[in-house]
Amino acid sequence: MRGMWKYSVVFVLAVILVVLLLVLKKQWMPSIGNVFKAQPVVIDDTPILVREINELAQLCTIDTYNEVVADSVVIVKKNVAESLLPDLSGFSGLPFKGKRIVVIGRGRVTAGTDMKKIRPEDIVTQGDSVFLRLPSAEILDAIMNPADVEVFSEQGDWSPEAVTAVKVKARNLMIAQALQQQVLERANSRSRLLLENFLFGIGYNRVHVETGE
Amino acid sequence: MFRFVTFISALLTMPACNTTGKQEGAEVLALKEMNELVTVEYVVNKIIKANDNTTWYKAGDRKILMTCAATLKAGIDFSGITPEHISVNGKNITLMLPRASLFSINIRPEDIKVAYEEVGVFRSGFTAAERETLAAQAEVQIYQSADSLGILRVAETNASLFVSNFLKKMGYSQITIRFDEGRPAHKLD
Repeated sequence: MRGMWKYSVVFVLAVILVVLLLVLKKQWMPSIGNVFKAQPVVIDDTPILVREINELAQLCTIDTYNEVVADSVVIVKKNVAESLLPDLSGFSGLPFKGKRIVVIGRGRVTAGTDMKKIRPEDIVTQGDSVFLRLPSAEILDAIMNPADVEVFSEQGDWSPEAVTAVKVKARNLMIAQALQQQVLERANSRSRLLLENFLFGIGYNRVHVETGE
Repeated sequence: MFRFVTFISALLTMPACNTTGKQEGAEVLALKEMNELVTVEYVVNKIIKANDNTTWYKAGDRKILMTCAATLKAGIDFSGITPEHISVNGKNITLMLPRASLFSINIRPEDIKVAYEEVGVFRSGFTAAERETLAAQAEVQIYQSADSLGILRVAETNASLFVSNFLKKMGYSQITIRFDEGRPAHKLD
């Protein structure tokens, strides 16, 4: 009887050991941390509708990548009721309240030449010579997609429109910084070089390419 | 009086808190020279639909419905063209172009709009960061569906038309445009 009891204890201990090994090594059961972890919100796979198809001829010659920070602060005076209530916003004890949002945006600005703007009189050919006048370079794209935007700090309630305004501010800052780096001038000279090489490549011996004002 | 002085001093120190990132004249992180001819732009719409009801210990649901518009651009990367891809014989020219690629997906912040939001009594509304995460998921779905929209085929047709017209203006009468079947189109970063 005593031996039977001994075997039962050993058997139960072995089962517990095996279960623990399975739980820890094979991760068959979720950890306590995962049980209390908030599940990510996943969007439904909805169809994509094509609204417009536009024919373009944009020669993109310069791409800049940048990271910018934009923020917005709103401060309003507390009314009588709000002055009496406890304030946890960081403005406690002061006669005003505020909210703040800070956004980090990463994105790219593309500059180049819109080849659709070349007019027939901008191309002159004579024998093995060619003259081409290109339109001035312009900013063709400024991309700051949702995956590239990080809401670094968000205090208080911000409407979607107010958040959009901050993101637009970040994008405009990115464009301004790209312009400060003379992207348009660089795009102009790059477009000239590329077209010159292309025209030499297709058989012209004397090539002159210039960019318009 | 003390409150008034506190209020004024706080207002005076506030501009110091309103930092707007890098200073004027700050350099961009990277600058790349490229040679891409964008020949087509698709503007697409997508509904972003999410239901936050899967976390067992959170009482009540949250639902959100957003709309977004994205602009997809595709075209030809000219950097791969070498003299071997061009063949000229008098007024006849044959040009071998690389296959079309998807160059960019642009979802402008102002094109993302919240159409409907339903928040349970015990829940708080979606924060800006949460809305951004949902829009980022939509961006991935649009990228994954780009091929099925036929944008690359249209980009190649438009590229062929544009290059033909350009060469015609340059004086060539017989123009043949081919696409390099052997070279795979490059993928969007």
